[in-house]
Amino acid sequence: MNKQKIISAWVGLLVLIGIVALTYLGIQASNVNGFKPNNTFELKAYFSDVSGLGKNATVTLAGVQIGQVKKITLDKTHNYEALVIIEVDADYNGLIPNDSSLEILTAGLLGEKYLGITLGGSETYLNHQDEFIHTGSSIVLEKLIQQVITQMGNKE
Amino acid sequence: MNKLIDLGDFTLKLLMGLGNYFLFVLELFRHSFSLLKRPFLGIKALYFTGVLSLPIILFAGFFVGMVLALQGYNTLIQFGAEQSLGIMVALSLMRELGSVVSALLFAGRAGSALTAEIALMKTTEQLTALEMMGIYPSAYVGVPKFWGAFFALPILTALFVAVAILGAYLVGVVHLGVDGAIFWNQMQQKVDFYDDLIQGMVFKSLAFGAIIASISVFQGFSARPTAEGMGEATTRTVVLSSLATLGFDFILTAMMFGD
Repeated sequence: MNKQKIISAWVGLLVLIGIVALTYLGIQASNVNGFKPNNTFELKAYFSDVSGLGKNATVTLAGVQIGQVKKITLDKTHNYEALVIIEVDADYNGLIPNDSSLEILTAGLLGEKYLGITLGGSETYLNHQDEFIHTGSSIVLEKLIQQVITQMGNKE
Repeated sequence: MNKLIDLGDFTLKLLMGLGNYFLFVLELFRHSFSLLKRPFLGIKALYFTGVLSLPIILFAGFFVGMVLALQGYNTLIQFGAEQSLGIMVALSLMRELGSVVSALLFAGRAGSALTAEIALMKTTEQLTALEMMGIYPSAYVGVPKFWGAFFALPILTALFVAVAILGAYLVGVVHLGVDGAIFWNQMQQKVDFYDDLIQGMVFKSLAFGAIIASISVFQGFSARPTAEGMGEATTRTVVLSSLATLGFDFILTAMMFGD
């Protein structure tokens, strides 16, 4: 084999292991089929407390991600409640009953906050820009402990 | 008054340098099609910049991964979050460390060699000889070296990150006892293919490849044709490439991740 071919072979090998490394990273160390907010519709919900919930937090239905949080603002005209706008996969447009509830849940004991939809039984469904009537706010650990302590104090 | 003249001189020289650089890059692009006629020159450049940089990139990647895992573990365990080691290592490697560290190593290993080679050709008047034969030196020498180095860096970066994650796995899972399934599982859930891998790693390394390759070739061509000039040009290549890499890294990061 002449020198030119040896060099070409080495370069071929380099390109090959480069592609293998990229594929390996793609398959083993990353999420190819993650949620992509391309074709979505928006839903609104008011919460009295959204502490811990952030932008891009996941929205799940039965534990499967179907959307994410787009925007969180404080609505002064609505009793100082937090307005959360979520974007949900367009496949579910008009399929979520309007008495479904949206709750802020925690992954694990101290994990990150996400939103879970619990389906209702209504015959009318939520469309673009509609609002969840039933919502469940964040559980703040300190408040929970405070409640337990006050209740224990009341008993004595 | 003299100070004022110095300042003006300095500014003009700086601008002229930048202008020459951009003109030179334009010339490289203009002559790029000549590479199709002589593809082996490009392959040879890819061999000298890519294949010969493999040992240092793989070695550095492996150790960077191991150190990251060790340091990350010691910090995370204070919060009982050592399970997140996989995410931490993968995200920091893909978004920043992988592309930046391999670019810095590449500038030192391959960029300086490119500059030295071209500067020596200039010093020994080989470039002038080419011109005498009616061959554009920038087309025959510059273009293949530029494209070779440009394509070498993304490949090296992918290898760097892959090897670093393996190193982190060795230290984190095999040595320190983080659960292997959680290590990979969390990584797969939290690392996004497009945002982190393609944008953070591949796009950045392409940008750094273009920067380092163009600076190295330009410095070689604009070196003073003396032994001293060669040394100066090689030093400038490493310094300017490293600074440009770090500066552009900030800009790219701000564009990609700075919401």
